[in-house]
Amino acid sequence: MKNLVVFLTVAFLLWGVLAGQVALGLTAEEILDTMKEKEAHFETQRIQGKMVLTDSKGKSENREVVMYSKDEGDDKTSMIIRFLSPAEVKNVTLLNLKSGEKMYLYMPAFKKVRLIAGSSKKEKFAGTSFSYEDFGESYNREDYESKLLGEDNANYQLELYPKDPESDYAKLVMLVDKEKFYFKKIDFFDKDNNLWKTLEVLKVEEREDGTTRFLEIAFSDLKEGSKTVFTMEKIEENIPLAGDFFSVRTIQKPSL
Amino acid sequence: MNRRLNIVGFLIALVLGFPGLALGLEWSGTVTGKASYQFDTSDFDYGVTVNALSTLDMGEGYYLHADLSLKYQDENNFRPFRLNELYLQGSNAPWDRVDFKAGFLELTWGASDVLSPVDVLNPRPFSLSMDSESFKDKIPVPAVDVEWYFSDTWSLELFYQPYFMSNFVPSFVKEQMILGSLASFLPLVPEQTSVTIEETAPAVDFLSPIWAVRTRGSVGNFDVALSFQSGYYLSSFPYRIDVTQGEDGSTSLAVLSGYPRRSILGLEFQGFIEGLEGVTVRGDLAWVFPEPWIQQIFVNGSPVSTASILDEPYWKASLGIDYTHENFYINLNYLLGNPFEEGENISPYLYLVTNWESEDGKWKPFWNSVLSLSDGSMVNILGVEYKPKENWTTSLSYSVSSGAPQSRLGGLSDGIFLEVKYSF
Repeated sequence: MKNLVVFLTVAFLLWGVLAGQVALGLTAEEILDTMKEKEAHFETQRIQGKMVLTDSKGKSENREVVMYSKDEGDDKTSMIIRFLSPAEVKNVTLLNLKSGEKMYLYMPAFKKVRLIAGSSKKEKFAGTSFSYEDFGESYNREDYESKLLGEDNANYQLELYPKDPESDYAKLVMLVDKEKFYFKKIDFFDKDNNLWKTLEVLKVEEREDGTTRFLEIAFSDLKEGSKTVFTMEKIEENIPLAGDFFSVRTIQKPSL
Repeated sequence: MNRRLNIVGFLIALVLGFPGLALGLEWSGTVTGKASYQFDTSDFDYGVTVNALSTLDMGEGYYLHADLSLKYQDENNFRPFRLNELYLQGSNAPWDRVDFKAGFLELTWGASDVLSPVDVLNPRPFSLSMDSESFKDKIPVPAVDVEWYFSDTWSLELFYQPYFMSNFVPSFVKEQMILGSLASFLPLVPEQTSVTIEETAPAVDFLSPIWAVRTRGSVGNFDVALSFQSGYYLSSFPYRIDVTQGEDGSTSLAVLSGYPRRSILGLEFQGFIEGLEGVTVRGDLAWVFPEPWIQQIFVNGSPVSTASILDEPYWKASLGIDYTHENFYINLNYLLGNPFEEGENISPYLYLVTNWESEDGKWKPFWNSVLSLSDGSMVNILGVEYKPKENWTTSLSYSVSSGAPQSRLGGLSDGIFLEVKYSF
């Protein structure tokens, strides 16, 4: 019995060392690369979902959205987001071309499309905890200096420093699932290194090809005490979209 | 003609609206209550507007869109029931690269945020308010608008309007304007002066329509559009005023007015400049070519004045720059001419819009200011928007003007305004 205990202890320690060596063998950049490989890949996508916005007093509002996105290559994504409800923001539509190269907002009440300025990308979109910028964000080694802070049996912990000097954030601390290589949580720190926002993955789907897709995420603004939970209710992938779909023409259409 | 079209629109709305309700069409809209108090005149005004719109998806890229409003206000209740819009829309229809709208349309041209000089396809109802809601209020016109997307980023738009419709200006305002224009050389006592105005609408029909063409697209960081409009001024200009002075001291004015022809060459742009983070530049330029317009004044049958009201081509402009930082927004516009100024009356203004939104998005204090660069008169509007709950918005503002009574803006009355809006 004693030998068995010793064996198991040694085996456990050895497994731990080996696991550690595997982990040590992965740099933060490699973890980011693997995460990217494990992301569900699609050319085009349509998501219909629901947002629940909760303010600092605990009051909640529901918003329904439809989102279209397209992989433009070079880590760039074009996206259209339209609010379907509530009435005061119905059909307000955002067009984000190539991860923020150009952004437009269509407000039906004004019957015109406005080009949005650079810093407007940091504004919140239609009362959510998301900024326009957050909608188009991806976490690549090209955009962040990264460091492996530590790990446990289930997760890696990375620290990311934005390369963009105009970023609102001093750093991001990211918790990455060791097995499936998706981020479970990201803490966003402001320029004074105070925790500002958190992004949590509440529900994830693992697909047959081993990639993952988020089904429910929560975005919290800790300074304001507000929170937005986004639930993806209907997802369609690789749908046929016209070459000029991601355009100011499309966001003015009565229905998407 | 306007009244007949409105009745036609009303009947169409009834025919479509009630079956629409019966068919369970989805309607959305707003209920807006407004109240204002003018300190100078102790005038209290109030009103309620119900606006409802619905879009019926007819399939194959075709839609039927209806936008109706029911408005009650204590005075100057311009068309209590209004058909705002009613049109058939084709999206990628009838051809893939073509969109169109046909019916009673409200179109917005121009990139600038305030008082675009190219946004003159639709006439407007009368308002003394300086808020953005009033600026976007328009009267729909029967028209067809077709846009052909000949590339992924460029399009060509054609606008065709076979009936003329004018701005709505209440009679008492027209009379005040006539009296004001004569005040410099003819002393008139308003209480002893009667005014009759006869307006002649221009001969617009299917073969002699109002029309416009615009091409727009992207050039680098800028979206630009070039347009040409061929139509008429939407407010009338007197061409003959007969003044008859009675022996009892009374005066009667018989005014004949018309709508001069005009063509407008327009340029619109909006974009950003690399290195100027947070700054967006927007602007519209209009080069207006008027039909020469002569105004003659007769006193007791004898000509006393002949003046050229419109003569040479002239510029109007709205050039703006806006800056956004966190929750703070500032927009500064240079205006050359306001909607009531044409020809030699054009004058420059600065228009400032600033607001700040609270972190929870519920409070938005704002300060809007208009400064006449020609005489220094000014209007300042201070206010706050508050969103107590989902779909509810309230706004309270205080407006104060400065400058001589005859200056561009000094004559506007100081007042307080309250608005409550519910979206459904």
